[in-house]
Amino acid sequence: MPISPEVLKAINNEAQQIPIREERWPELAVELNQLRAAAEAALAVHDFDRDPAEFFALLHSRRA
Amino acid sequence: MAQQLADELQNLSLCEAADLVKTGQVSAVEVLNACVKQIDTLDPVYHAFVRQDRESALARARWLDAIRSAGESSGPLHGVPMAHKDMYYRSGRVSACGSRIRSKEPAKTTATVLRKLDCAGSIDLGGLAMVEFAMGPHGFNAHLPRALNPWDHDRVPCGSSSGSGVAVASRMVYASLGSDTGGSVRCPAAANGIVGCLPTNGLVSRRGVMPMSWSLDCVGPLTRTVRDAARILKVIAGPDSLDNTATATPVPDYESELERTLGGIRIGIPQGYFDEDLDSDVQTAIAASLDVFRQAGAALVPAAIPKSVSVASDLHPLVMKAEGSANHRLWKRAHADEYSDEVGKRLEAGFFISAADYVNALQYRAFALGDFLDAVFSKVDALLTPVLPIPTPTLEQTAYRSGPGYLKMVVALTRNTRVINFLGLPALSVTCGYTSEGMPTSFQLVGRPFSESLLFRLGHRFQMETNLHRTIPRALERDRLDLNRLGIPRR
Repeated sequence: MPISPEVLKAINNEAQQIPIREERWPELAVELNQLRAAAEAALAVHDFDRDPAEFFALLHSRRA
Repeated sequence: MAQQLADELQNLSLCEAADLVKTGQVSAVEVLNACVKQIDTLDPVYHAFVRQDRESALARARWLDAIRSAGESSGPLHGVPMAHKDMYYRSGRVSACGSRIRSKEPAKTTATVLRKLDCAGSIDLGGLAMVEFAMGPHGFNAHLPRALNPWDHDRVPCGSSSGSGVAVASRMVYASLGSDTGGSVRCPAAANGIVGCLPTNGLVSRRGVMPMSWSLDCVGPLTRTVRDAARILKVIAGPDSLDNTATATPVPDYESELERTLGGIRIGIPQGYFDEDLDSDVQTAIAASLDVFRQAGAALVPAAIPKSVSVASDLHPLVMKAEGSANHRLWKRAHADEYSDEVGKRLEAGFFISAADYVNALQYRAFALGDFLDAVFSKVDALLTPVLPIPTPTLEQTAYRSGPGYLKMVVALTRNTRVINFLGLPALSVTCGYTSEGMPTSFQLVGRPFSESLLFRLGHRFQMETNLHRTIPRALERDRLDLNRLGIPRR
């Protein structure tokens, strides 16, 4: 289910409390849905055991 | 005579200037004066500097001359004036980071990289213009006068290290440190016709540097030659007891490797992602640059780009925004009206990214890096891609507006660069030709982790074969003559 401007406003009121102009909510919802889609795409190869720190370890273990 | 000396000094590379000071053929004060003269002539119009520290620079130049007279040298950058993106802290000095919010707060610490440059003998001439809090690719900052591209004033200098690109290309300083989270060193280097280096993530300390996105930020030099970049990276790279993300491994002597032949080196030609939506002028320049490498003895090998690169490209803004917004949370609550409209809006989405999505994106980085190393670097030693897939945009094209056309242009600007930050790999941006409208365009050489030595070797050979790095920016010569003759126009 896509993120709606109303949901974002509710989160903001309850938690973030960032001053955001009214006309921005629809634009923000579009942007957040794009970012959510990116996150969903990454889940295709999600590995329960993968530690985020593996990235930095890999940089060193596969160095030139 | 003094004018002739100044002109000659301005057009030297950093290494050439440093070597002349080292051998006593010119003094550090003379080199500094040449830079100051260029700044006086151009900067009232070019707006590369936000702060000039002339008194301290002159005092330091005199001291460096005095110790050289006594037979001592500070190091490989002895007597070379530099200036840096205004986000490198020096204790007691204000670094505004392109913002209003930090415009009055003196730094409490000095960046490790500034300390290293000081120890190597460089002279810090001041702070350079940047996009507010380094958040934006085309170089505009609503709080500052517009920094001008010395090739064409109607085109953007790119960013976020906009002042660094302009100051180095227009010969105001010999080199500058920028920062690169999604292309902020390589894009202004490309737009201004100079060299930009993105080191491997963790090779250079970030202690005392304004954070934008902790897991993506890298410190890198902008220079006119590859040799200059190699010399600076050797100085600033390596361990830092104050930054445990900085690598503990020894830093090679990059300069000593520059003249090695290219025989046996395989350069990858991307098949997928990096070859999509390319402007025809950019495509022509890239093809010509590959031919230069082929003639120099390198093998050109097709390199299939894995699909994970597209996913990585889409995840980059998620990571950057989540980390960036977290840094700005308190200020956004209390001082929202002190942000420019454009940057204020850029920060907003990051407050609504879920922690689970953010951590999943970080987990994906290891997968994407492994996938890329397996797919690309099992077959080639370096990958050559355009930096900007399009010609440097005009001011009009980048004027902030809503809508798909504007967003497409902004996304295109960092399409080829941000994914390299996400993968943590090193990249070197080098001018490789000109568009039909006379704007420089660049390739980036991407390598395995910590393969900067190879990238410098390739980039240096390209500059030696083509001499493109000697080209004076188109508008710069005209401006220098006009501004010297007519005085400073008021804008």
